[in-house]
Amino acid sequence: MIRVSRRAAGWFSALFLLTVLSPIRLNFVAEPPDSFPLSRYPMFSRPRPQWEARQWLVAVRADGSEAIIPYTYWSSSGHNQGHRALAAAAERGDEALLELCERVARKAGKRLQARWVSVRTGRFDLEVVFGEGDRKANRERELAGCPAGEGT
Amino acid sequence: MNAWFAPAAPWRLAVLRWGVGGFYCWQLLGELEQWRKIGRFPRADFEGVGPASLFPSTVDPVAYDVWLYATIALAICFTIGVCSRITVPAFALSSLFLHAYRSSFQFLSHADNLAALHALVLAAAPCAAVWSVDAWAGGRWTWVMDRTAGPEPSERFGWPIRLMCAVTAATYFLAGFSKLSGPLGLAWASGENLRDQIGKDQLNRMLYAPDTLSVLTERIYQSHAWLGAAASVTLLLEIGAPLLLLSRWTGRIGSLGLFGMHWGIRTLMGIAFVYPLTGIAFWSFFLLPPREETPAP
Repeated sequence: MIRVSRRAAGWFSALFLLTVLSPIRLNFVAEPPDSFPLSRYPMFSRPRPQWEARQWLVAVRADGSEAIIPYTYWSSSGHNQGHRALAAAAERGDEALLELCERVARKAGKRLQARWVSVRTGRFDLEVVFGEGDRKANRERELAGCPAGEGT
Repeated sequence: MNAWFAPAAPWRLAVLRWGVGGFYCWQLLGELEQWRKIGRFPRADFEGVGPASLFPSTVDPVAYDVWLYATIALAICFTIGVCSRITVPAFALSSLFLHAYRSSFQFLSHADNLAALHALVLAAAPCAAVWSVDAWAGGRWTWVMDRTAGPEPSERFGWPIRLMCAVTAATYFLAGFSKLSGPLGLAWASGENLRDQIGKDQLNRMLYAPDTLSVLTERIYQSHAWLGAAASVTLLLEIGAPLLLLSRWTGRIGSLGLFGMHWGIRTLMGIAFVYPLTGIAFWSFFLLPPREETPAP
């Protein structure tokens, strides 16, 4: 909305474009950061490992049956962000995980009839999971757990 | 240099203002509850990104709500062109910081980058000279209204459209360069990396959104040849994005290719880059003026 001369518009255009292109240098940096609104757009460029480690939440019901708890119980921004938020909590340690577990348990008790909420971790071989259809995790274990349902 | 400043009719820039502004209004109002929740995210999850790294900590929820609703009001003013001299730059800055703040909670959405950059370009241009409340209101309150030009074609309406095209092409070129300069280099075109990415996304769906697991995506995961073709086309479109700037027609054809690529990603991987998916990200290529520009659309 600013009245600009041709020279000013030319400089603005050149500087704006150079700024947008500036993250290109990050391709030559070890562990480059990502940002907003400037990015080198690294999505899908990094090779994935054969094994993927994950944390996830499980609702355990009174009859012993289990159900995966969807990300909407602890994040409002999509499943990939749900994964990142959970991984970040796991990285911060037991206290952060327990806090997240209790937050989820308050909702899961009613909606999923859960009696126990379990935060689990394990490793998945993508070829085995989606190539062969065996969906079980390798080295699965409980990181944290908390009661759900009445009294929580 | 002369081509950069070739004249364009003001309505072309006005269409872009309606498109970008409309997108923001739809995004903010359509996901209002999600946007409100961001103001209540735990402080421990905050790690400042981009302009939001200026914030020492999270914003108070009440102040955040005021900021959110003010940005929505500014988005509406931006779109319909009210008091544009103030509201257009104010909207571009406020939404920039708001999106950066959201990104600071492990929510980096690359599709939002281009929308923010387009809004910044429009903020530096007389984008509300026509088809706006300011234009209809006549010559009153000229200090806040955009009364900088009549409806005649002018160089001042042309360069911002070209800059939006160049910025769009630059972002796709960056994405292609990132793939080529990565550890895989040209081997990225084999599709193996894309396959692993699809597998990773399916794994996240399985563990965090089991209702959204896609049978089609799982079938495609098993097809090496199909994924190789998809990866090669993607890499060609991205690294070749500067060619979109050669002429109006290369821009239109190339941007249709990129638009199709995003719908392919949406279908195969369930990942929605919303701004390009709407097509608004590519409107600038279709609004470039011809050699002999006329005032009326």
